[in-house]
Amino acid sequence: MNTAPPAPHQNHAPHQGPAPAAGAAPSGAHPAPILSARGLVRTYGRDQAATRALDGVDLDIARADSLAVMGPSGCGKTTLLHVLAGILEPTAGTVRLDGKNLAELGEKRRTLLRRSDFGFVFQDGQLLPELTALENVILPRMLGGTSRRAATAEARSWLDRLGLGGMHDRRPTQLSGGQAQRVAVARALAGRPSVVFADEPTGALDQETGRSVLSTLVDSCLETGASLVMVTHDAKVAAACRRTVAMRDGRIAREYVRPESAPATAQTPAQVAEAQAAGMPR
Amino acid sequence: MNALLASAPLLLRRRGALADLLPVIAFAAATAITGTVLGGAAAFVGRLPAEDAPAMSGEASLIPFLVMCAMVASVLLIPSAVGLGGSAARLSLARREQDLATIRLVGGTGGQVGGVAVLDVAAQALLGALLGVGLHLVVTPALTALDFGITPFTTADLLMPWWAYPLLVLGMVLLAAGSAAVSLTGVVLSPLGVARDSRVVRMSVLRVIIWAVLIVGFLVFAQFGSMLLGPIADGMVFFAVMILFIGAVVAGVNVVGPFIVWGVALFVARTAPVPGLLVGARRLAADPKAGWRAVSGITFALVIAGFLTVLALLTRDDGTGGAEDAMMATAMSTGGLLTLGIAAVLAAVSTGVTQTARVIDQAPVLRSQHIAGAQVGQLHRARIAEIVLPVLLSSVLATFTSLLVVMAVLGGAPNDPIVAVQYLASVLGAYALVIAAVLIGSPLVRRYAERGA
Repeated sequence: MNTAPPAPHQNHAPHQGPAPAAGAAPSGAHPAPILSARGLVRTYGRDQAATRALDGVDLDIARADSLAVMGPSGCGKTTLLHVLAGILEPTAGTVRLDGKNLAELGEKRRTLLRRSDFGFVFQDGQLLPELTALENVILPRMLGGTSRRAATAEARSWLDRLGLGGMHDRRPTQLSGGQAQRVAVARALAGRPSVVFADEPTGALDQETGRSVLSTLVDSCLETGASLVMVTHDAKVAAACRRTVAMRDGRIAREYVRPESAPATAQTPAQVAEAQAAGMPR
Repeated sequence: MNALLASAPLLLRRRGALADLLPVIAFAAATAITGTVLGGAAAFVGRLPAEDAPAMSGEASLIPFLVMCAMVASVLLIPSAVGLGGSAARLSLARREQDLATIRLVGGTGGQVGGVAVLDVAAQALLGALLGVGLHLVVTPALTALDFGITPFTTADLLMPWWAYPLLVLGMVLLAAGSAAVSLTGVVLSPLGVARDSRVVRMSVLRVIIWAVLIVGFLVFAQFGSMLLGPIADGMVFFAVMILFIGAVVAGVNVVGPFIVWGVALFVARTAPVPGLLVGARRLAADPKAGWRAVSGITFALVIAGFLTVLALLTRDDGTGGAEDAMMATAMSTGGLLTLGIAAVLAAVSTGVTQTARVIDQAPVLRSQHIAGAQVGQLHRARIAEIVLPVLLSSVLATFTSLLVVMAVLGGAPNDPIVAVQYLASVLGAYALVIAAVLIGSPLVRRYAERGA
């Protein structure tokens, strides 16, 4: 069993600095995006009570790229993540994974697709409390038909890589918040997904632990060639991603692309200023 | 206290029709069954001839034995019904913990929070107990149609005296409040949320020792009881002690059951080749008491079925006996079936309620697992594993217990194949009950898993 992650993809886009995307123009540097959304509309409720959470979103996500979706509460960022992941169906528009239209797959095949092609990291980890760290990581693989033995070997390797050696048999309640979130990262990546979706992955952690988990998440995605789509309201967290889109009222208001030379751990002053100007919390 | 009473309705939001309904159903069933069993036992006691009555014959000669059987049935059924009431209280409280933490956050003191929790459970118990009394009153006239082979009972015979009903309701409310108060001692409700003892569960081997001591005590008494009791060995004293021992051995199954579930679940979890079994076994190992509670009603029904199968065989009227033998056979057959029926209702309610409650509790986990790619069928399989494992263990334990008691009382194992066939039918009936309980919760699993999708 080859448990080593594949070589990192070298496909960071040359598109650098703030770009006035205004929701319609995806970064065009990647000829074949892994995930592509066009004209996404998602409405909740009907008639007078209808609320447009997404209002015409176009977005491309390249292989092994990292994208942060920012914005104030209620701007539609979590809805966008759920629609991109096939958890919610858009009211209008399409989401394509490697050219496949998710809407045409049906609920059962979308569920299988989430298992095989996507990984998820939620704010509170959402680990099964009764299972050990190791079992939490092997579970999605076993659900996908991998034997326990093979899944265990892979999961052990991932947990060790993420600094959780010696904690394989601990329950989530016996782990710190940061350790539990690392288990969630291992679980998301163990299946070698094409795309990892993270919803406020550091939201429940202190600053230092959050930074550490974040760099683990971003680096691991990069190493395995998985694309990362991360929802956050924190500009500093978003700065860990190569691209950032800022949402407002269900649309993409702005897009930033980190210059190739800039460090991945800090928001550039210009980005912070832009984020504040867009009404987002710092 | 006034502030507490005034604010409680505001502080405790409703949890949804089903979540509110489950404990009330359990309290109602527990009350109705307790009332019906006590009323029935009292009806038999009421037929006891006066002590200074002349030598008895016919129906009167059977009554003392039937009273004893009614007492055995009461000893077996009432603790289970009371246990169901306690489970309902814990169930009600578990749903409230987040609300209670919120009350702490907005300034409620520890005492106020505890008070609100106990009041909430007591209110549900009161509603359930009143419904249960109503159910008992509705069902009782139909029970007069049962043929015990003796002069039929009237509705008035089978009802308890009027003053017993307020006591029954009060008893159920106090039981619920007491259970809630005891449960609260294991939880810390802080303003920041609910803190629970997060240590990994370990079942004490003391449970096995207690059960073993009960069994040895029972066997010793069955063998040497007459000798031990000496001059008072005759008649009712010996039987009373024997009944208590049987009750203790049957109740002891609930002591040793969680330990066995825990041990087996740990082993299965470590070796499970499929995800459903892994998740189900881990959930059982994490909370073996809850896993056992879900099937304890079935275990208990199976133990009773085991006793009755043999008892019915022993008292079978082959036509060669007199009128008294025929009466006895009818009484045992009807009484046995009635006891089994009540045990089955208890099992159905407790299994259905606990299974549905577990699905409600697991709603967020079901949702996140489905998001991460677990199909609804796979979620069902984990639930099935979680219930099948304790059911299989419980049927083994129930068979062992009833065989042990029957062998001790009879001095050997029953060798009639009819016994095995009838008992097997009871086991299959129990499995059908479990399947029904799992099916009841199935639509909820899909609904929670696909919520918002």
